[in-house]
Amino acid sequence: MADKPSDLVQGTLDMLILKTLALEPMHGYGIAVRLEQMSKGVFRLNAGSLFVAFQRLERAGLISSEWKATENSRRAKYYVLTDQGRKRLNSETREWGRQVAAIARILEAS
Amino acid sequence: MSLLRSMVVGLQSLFRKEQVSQELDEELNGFLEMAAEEKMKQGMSRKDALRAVRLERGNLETSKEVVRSAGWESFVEICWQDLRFAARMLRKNPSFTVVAVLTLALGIGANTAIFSVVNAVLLRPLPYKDSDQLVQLIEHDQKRGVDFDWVSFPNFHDWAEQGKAFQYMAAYKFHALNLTNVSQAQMLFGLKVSANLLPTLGAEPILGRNFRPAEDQPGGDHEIILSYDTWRQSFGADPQLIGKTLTLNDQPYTVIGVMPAGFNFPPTVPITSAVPSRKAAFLIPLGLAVNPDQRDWNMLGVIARLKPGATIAQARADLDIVSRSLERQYPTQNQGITVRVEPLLNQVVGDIRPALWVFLAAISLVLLVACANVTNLLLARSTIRQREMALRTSLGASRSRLVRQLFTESLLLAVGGGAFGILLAYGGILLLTTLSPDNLPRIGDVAIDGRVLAYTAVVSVLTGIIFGLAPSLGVALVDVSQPLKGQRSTPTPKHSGLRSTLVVSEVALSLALLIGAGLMLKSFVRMERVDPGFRADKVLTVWTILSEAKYAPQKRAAFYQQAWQRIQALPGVKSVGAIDNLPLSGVHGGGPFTIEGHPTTSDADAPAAYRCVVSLNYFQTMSIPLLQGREFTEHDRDGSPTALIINETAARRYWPAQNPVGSRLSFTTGRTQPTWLEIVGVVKDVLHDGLESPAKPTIYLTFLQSPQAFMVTVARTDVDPASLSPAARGAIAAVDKDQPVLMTRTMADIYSDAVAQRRFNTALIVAFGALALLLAMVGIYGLMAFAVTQRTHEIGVRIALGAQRWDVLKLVLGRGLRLALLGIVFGLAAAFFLTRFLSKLLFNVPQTDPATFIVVSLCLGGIALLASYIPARRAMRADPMLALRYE
Repeated sequence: MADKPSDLVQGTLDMLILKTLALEPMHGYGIAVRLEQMSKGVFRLNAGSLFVAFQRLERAGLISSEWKATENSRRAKYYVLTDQGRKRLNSETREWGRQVAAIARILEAS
Repeated sequence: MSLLRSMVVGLQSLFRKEQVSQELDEELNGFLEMAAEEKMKQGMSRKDALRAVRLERGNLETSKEVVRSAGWESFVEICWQDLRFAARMLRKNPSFTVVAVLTLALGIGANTAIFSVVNAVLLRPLPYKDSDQLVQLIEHDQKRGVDFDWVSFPNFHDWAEQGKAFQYMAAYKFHALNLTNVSQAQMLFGLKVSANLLPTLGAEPILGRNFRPAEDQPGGDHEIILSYDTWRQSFGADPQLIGKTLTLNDQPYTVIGVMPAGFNFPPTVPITSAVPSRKAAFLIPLGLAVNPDQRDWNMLGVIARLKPGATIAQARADLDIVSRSLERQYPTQNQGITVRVEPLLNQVVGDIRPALWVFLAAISLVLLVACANVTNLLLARSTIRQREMALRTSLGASRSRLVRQLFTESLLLAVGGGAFGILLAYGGILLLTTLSPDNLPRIGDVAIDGRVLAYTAVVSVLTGIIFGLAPSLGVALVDVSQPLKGQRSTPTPKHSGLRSTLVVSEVALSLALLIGAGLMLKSFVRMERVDPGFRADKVLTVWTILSEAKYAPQKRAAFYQQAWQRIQALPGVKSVGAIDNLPLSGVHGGGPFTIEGHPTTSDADAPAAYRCVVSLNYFQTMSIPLLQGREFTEHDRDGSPTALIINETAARRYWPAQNPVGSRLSFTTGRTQPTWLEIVGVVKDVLHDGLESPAKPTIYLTFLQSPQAFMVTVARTDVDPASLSPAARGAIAAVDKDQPVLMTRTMADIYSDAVAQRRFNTALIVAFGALALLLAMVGIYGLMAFAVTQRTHEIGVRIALGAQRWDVLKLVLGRGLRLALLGIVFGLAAAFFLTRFLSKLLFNVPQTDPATFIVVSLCLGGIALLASYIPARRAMRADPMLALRYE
């Protein structure tokens, strides 16, 4: 069963969700759409893996949630980035940048 | 922090399952609806849009399941499910469950009981402040290779002055006091101690105060501290008692303190019958001064508290230096004398430690046998459950899930076994403490405490893992398709191989245990047959100590002569004698002597012997035969030359190949002018130190020439000796109403004490062996019975094809016997290796005694044959028609 996106590491998915929520609070579907847009359709996530990630992040205290009405006046659970989540996002982004740079150097060197 | 949050949220979803599930439902539903709306905007019908979304994003139920199983609480939930299922399965098979739980309960319970003894006796610290800092100091004589628990006062004094590793060093000695001037004269048994004994132990009186150093001086020593029990029992817990004067040994003593209820020192009174009480009733000052002539008078127990941070090794090194300098200073008395430093706990448990570890090891073997049995039961059941497992696999249960399920069942069995085991352990402890000899130290403290419970829990889980391993892993190997095709489940070769191996190891383990039990039993029989050198039946012993202040030596003789006459006159008494150091009682004394014409340079080279003072009729009363010369007579009295009688061992060792009668010896050694004393007779040996120690050279003196204050009167009777005890006490009181009797005991009781430890050890090991044997036999029976049921079809075919019933019997018996023989071979090898750990507990039996090995093996083989005969007979009677109808 594909309960994990094929070549998307867990940490990467978490970071992308945090990144998405950094702009504004968002409900699950909104986050999925935004992720697809950001990745130009590369990340097409099924509901299972997405919601497992929400649950994980919420339990870690990086995001919180509340029920609100959508623009189409539907009830949906909106996820909000917490202060702790924002901090984590910043540090992860920096770390990510370093790793990418390192990988790039290795690739160039070979 | 986030861990905490995760736990809180997890717990919430466990307990508010409905609400959490509803929320997730709504959220996911919303998600899929929004996705579908998006598609409908692009012109799809609602139905198509919903299907497309399901394909793209996964359907609602699967997603829910994925999200739910991601949290840790889902693991708990599965475990809970497994547990309930396991409980249901076990309930459905009550006979299996009962047998398995009982087997485990027996194993775990016995193990718990033995561990609780180990815990209380060996592991629990002594009841003193920082007791791991307390040590015992023992003199070691390098030349003779012997230890002296007792130390002379001058040596103790020098160790205490010169030793640097110690915060305190204290000395004590046992002492008895006659309490008079009260309604009934009473003998109190207690200690003389140095003033710093209580600070050394970190203890303080609850009333009054400790001794002052000035009170621990010759002449200034008339203060007494009472034990809590004495204060309550003899003085009605009178708080005004402090400062009052008691008459003890006809001397005035001022009560200066009362110890707390829990205080007891020494932690165990040495294992001897001579001590009427396990608890010291009083403390009085030692009141000794250094007398250089007494450097070899070993009479004090010495303990010390290490300086904070100092180790035993440092203390040893420290005292090595001291003892070497003392050796140079006092070569005559201290040559070859070194000091051993041992934890004080060793004094208490040193003798019993090896036996207890052997017991724990043995009972763990029994538990292993129990495990093997339960494994076998589970394997048999898993053969039967193959269909169920196959069905569940084909319905989508993963193998790991099935393994986990089976493991849960095993653990549940183990926990059940553990719980019943604890109940059994309570009974076991009761039995152990009742059966155990009184002199097993700290046996009264045995109880199930936290540590014992933790041990039981660990043991139960471990056994669960051990016996659950094979059946659970077996599932992983099962071929799913076969059982479902409706084929008769035959035991897979792998299973039956494993089960046979288990039975073989059961037989091997129990054989090893039984051989150990056999060796112990043989040792016990050998010891019972040992001739102690006297007749112990129908003898009453009466223990008295005269106060030295009231009774000068000549008055002692008069007192005892009268007392013995009165006891002799009692109806039922045949003869009366007396001795100061009664055999088997743990009391002994003696020292070096010089043989005329054989001068020696130092004490260490001199011949040495026990010394006993006996009354005229002692040898006759105890039935100790005279071998040479004559007995003491009333002509050997004050004023006439001192007469000596020696025992056989002394005669053989020191007067080899010659008649010692007429030879002379002296108790003075070294440079002092000797007084020569003549040997007038030789008597047969008596085993003074217990039935397992060889006779020691002994020299007897006659009471008339050296009257003692402490004498044990022995009376041989026609009637039950215990029944004469009140009359004997009356006889003593008739001579002096202020003279208490220390105790009266029959010689048979004293003899019984001397063999109690071995009897207990033997009973325990034999019980373990029997338990293992029982379990192993159940194992063989179970395996054979199961095999016969499984092979009913095959046997039916054989009979139908003309096999004789005898052949069938041979077939089944042969298999059982093969397994038993294999087990016996391995068991013999194991016993050969394991019995060496038993060697310390054996007596006059080699650890690889061939007779024991052979007899026990034959017995086990016979019983194994019997255990497989019952199922074999059933197989023999199998009706071929019935067997074949199963097809």
